[in-house]
Amino acid sequence: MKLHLLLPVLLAAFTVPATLDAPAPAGDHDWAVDTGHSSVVFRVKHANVANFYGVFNEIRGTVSLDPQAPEKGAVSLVIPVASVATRDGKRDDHLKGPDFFNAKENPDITFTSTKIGKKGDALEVTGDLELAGEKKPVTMTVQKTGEGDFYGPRVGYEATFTIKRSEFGMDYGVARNALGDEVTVMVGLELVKPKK
Amino acid sequence: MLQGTLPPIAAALLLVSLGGARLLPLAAGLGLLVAYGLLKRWPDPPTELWFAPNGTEWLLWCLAAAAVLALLEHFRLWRGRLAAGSAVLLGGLGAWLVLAKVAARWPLAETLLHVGLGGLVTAGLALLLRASLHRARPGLLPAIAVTVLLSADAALLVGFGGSALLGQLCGALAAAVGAGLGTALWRRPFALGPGDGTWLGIAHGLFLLAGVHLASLPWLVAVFAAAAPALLLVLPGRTK
Repeated sequence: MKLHLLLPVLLAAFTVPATLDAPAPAGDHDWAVDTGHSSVVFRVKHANVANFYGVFNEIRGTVSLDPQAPEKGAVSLVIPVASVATRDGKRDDHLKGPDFFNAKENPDITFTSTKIGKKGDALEVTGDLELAGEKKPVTMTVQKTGEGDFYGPRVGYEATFTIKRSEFGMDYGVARNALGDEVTVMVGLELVKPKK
Repeated sequence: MLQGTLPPIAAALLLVSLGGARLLPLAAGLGLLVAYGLLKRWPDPPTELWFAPNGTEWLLWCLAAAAVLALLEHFRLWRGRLAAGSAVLLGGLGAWLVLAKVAARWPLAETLLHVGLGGLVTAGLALLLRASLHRARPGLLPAIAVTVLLSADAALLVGFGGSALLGQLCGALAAAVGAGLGTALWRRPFALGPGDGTWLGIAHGLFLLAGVHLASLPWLVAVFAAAAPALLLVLPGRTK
């Protein structure tokens, strides 16, 4: 199911530790999402002609992950819908409205992991993706992209997954093929140690 | 677009042809629910919405309830002050339900302001439409005016509110009234009564309220649009 493909991507994005407002987890395996160095990009086909790309400028959340025991880990990510950006203010407002994300009623996209496992060198993360008021299980493959020290220890993860937006009640333009049903989401997370 | 307009048009043509204008609220209510089902999905029942609110779906159920009240009034099972009072209650309740989810994040003062004001305006519009349709001379003119009113609401919801969904649903109601009006070509007479004022006034109020709080309809535009039914008072009155 494409939803399952998308979930790993989301999970990867969410795999980065805690964010701005989220309470910082404590422990050696706890991380917070570095919002300024993490990215959420989505791709959808327009008029069945070209791929269109948009971004969410903000992602926050926490990740707790022991590489030796990933099954004990947890990922919690929040993407404020208000941060959607497509280089056109009017289009952004439309995306935030009832035809798409219905942001006034559902201001955040959230992902909460329910299961984390190993899949070769990568992680397979399953969780609940809540989008536009609809919650669906999603599974995604999360790749570690690197780790290092830059003003403190950091680790990076990336995931790409595809969802069908109609499954989340966002079917504007699907019937006329004005805008594709399948949306590919690319999440790149940079995780830092949460502030004590 | 046809998915949104065909069900209410078909329902209005069928039911009004069979039972006259008194079945118009039933046709509009059924048509609207089916239109939403085709445009988006079948609305959750109120028992589920109570725990997981969705403003647009509450709007649909409030209009369905208003249609039932209007139907009862047309069949003289519900009338007088009871009918007017229930229109006021449903208008207030509708505003609260439509805003329930967004209001959950508002401070108390803001909730009281927006829900209170929205409820007062919606209830007031129901009474205004009831009074206007009671006063107006029976005929096609009030129905034409109401069709124009709802069509204008739909255009504002799409053009200023940026919501095709709300615009299509409001347009579906306009289409239902317009189709009912069309039955006058082969079935006379067609006239709206005070009972229709209940569901039409509540629809006008709740769609504008949803446009402001669920979409991006500017307040000023909504205020001017809300005041538009006052023009119905200039329609020719009944002769004594």
